[in-house]
Amino acid sequence: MDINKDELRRELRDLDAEHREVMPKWRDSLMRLLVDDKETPTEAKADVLLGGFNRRRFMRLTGLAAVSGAVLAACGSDDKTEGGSAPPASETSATTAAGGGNKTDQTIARTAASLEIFAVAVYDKAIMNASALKISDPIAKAAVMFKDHHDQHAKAFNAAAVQLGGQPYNDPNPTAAKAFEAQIAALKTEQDVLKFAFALEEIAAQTYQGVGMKLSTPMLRQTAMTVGGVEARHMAILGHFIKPPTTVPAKAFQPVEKAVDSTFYV
Amino acid sequence: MEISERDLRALVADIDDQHRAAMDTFTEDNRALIFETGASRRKFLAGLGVGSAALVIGSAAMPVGRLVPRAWSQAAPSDGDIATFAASVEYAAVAAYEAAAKSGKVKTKAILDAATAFAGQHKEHGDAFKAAGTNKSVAANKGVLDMVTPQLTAAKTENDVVALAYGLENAAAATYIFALGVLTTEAAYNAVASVMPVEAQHAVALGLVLGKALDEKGFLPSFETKDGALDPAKFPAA
Repeated sequence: MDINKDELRRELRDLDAEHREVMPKWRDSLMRLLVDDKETPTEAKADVLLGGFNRRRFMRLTGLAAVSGAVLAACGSDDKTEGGSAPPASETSATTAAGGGNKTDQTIARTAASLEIFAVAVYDKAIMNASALKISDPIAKAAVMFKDHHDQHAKAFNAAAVQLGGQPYNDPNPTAAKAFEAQIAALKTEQDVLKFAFALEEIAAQTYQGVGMKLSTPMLRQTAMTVGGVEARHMAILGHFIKPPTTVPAKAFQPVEKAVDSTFYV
Repeated sequence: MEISERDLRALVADIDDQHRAAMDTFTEDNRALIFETGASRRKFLAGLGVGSAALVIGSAAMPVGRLVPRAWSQAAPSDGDIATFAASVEYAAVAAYEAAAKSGKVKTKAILDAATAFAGQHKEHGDAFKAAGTNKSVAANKGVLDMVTPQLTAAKTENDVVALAYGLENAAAATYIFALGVLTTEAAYNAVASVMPVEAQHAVALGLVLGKALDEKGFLPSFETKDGALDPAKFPAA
């Protein structure tokens, strides 16, 4: 078979270019598998390395360690758009792993997103009705900030849900919306709003702590608590404004008795 | 806390900028961590935690936290080791609060009461971590005390003392955020995850005393970070 030398050189050059493009991603994934990924059993690692390269299997193994990077990358995107919105999952620096997370991880990420969106809706309602509720300026400012925080949380959790192989959830949590509908309708004063917001933040803070061991990796747990800690801070601010001030923290250890249960899962 | 709408918009925009600025370092560190070869990565990890050597709590700027404290990068600590380290930090916090109360520099009763309450909670934290740790005789972290004591001595006002405590609480919260990324057992997770929010709330309570603006860095972040986490290599547990 005669082959034109120029054609051969072009094909070799193309092959080399493709190889160079793929190798960093391979190196990335290999590093996660061998060095960063504490969760992959030794036997599984050996299987990937010695049992023949199967891309689907390999991506499944490395996907879990990539997820927290997805959330944290979503937190700190180079995207300079207004509102601080997280980038779409496809733009995150984390390795995309189709089906890399388990179903529980996906469900928790989606549920977390839905709870955050519910919180956004609650704060938005308070802000829009600030005048009627006689909400003072300092508390209105805090509400605006907390609404923005929850919006960022929602985007981050949805980015994580996608990275974990699931789908984002873009509506307020339906169970929460129904459960708290009457309470929200009954809010008449600034103190009513403060106490309700405090209760919601407390539920959120305890939920992110409570789901920890349901998540499959330490990095996912850490990621959840980067949000849980903030909800705890929100509690402290709101507690300060409640009359009489609510002692925060009330106990040395945050409990999880108010964490949402599986009926809130989406 | 009077603030105009224009200032509020500026504050919120600043918060967003600060948040992104705080995350910039993490993203870049992560990229280097992943794409460096093995030898370079070890060198990179060995360099982590150097910033923590200059950690000064209180009015001085806290260094940006790194991905992995030096000790934890070279040999993965057990959950028991982490619990022992946590206990030492908690006992140091107890000692710091007690010293602050005895210094005579804190005169406001409400602040003294809060200090007493927080010291009591840190004692409970320490006891719980000690019980779960590898060293049942762990004491207050000497490195942390060596860092905090001179600052307490040099404090001129009540606010100086409160600022010191504020920094220590935020450092503790950041340290536990980091620890959550490496803990593997349920008991260890439950202990750290139940304490981290409390340290964050301590920080907020002290920040309110200091009159911190909502947008001040580290006061009300949109996400907890590992910035300022205590490096066990620099502050080894006794």
